[in-house]
Amino acid sequence: MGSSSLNQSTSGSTLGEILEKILDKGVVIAGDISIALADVELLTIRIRLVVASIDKAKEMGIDWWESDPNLSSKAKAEKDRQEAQQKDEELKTKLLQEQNKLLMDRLNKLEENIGL
Amino acid sequence: MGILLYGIVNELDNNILEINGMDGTSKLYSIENSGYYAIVSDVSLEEYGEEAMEVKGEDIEWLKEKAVIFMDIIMKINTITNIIPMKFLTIFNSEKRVNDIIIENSEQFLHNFKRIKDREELSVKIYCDEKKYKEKVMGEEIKKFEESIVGKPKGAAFFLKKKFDTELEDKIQSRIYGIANQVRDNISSLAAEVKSNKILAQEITGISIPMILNSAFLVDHIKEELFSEKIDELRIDYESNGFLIELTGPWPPFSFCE
Repeated sequence: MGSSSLNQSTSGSTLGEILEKILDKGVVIAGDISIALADVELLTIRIRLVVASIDKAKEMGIDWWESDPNLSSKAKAEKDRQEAQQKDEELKTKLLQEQNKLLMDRLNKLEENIGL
Repeated sequence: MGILLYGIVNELDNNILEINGMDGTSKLYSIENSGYYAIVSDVSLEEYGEEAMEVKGEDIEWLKEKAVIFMDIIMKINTITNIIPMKFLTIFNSEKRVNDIIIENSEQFLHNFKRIKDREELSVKIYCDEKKYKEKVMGEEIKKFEESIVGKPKGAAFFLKKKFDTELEDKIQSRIYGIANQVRDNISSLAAEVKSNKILAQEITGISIPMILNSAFLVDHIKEELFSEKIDELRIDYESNGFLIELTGPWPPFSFCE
């Protein structure tokens, strides 16, 4: 399988599967440099949500960041930075909500299972 | 420079050394010891060093991009020769350290190569639209029940309906998981090994109906086609009742190397 086929299908279930395999599986040998990763499942969800939101924006025709040369000026950059920060905050809130929902679902399921 | 380890091979094909590493420019190379070749590439410590790694764990865009490239590289190697894949971001400071870990783990590598020789990992995921299953398969039963409570007093009908719904729900659950297990057992006969993996949340799969089975199969190359034909057959049997059977791969043997 070539790289193009992979890159084209990294949204949705394929990306989930890639992350599941490389983060959760594979041979573990302690390297000299290590990365601190959060819970694999939540991390995967976060990565997927980011990808989904970018895809969604592109779907809606919002892709100005790819073409507008004005955006490279310094003033714009600062504005972008602020906007990005705000977007990031919004995304974080959304992620937290999503995570919360997931945890609630799991909790509910657990409670159901133990007959509460 | 840091050294990022992708995996171990026991036959070095020059085509592997033509593949670009994580940074997209420097080629892969190998570090050999006692017949095992660690496939690695150099990575800058600015991006992959201890300090950088402390923040990269939170950098979702970076992780996503690198994860896809990492998998892509291992998949390319896997089409050339059997590879024992490493977990994402296994990084060393020196060639000597890589040499050491080959010696330390050589017995394990030997065992893994025996296991994966001439085989591939295939993934099968089953999803089920319970609503559709209910309509398609339990419709008759529901109809019969509804007929049976016609004319009954309102209160009695209400409780009978409640009881029926609960029992029906249990029945549906046990049946769909029964079918999923049946499918797994059916295709297991074509695999050398089977591994049950975690059921992935809908937030991860991006598929609107829930996953009910996630299994990895280690399949001989010569049986791969048979395996995929079998899946096609099972699709015909079950998909009209609300099941979705997804076959992906071949993947590097991530689930079958320890």
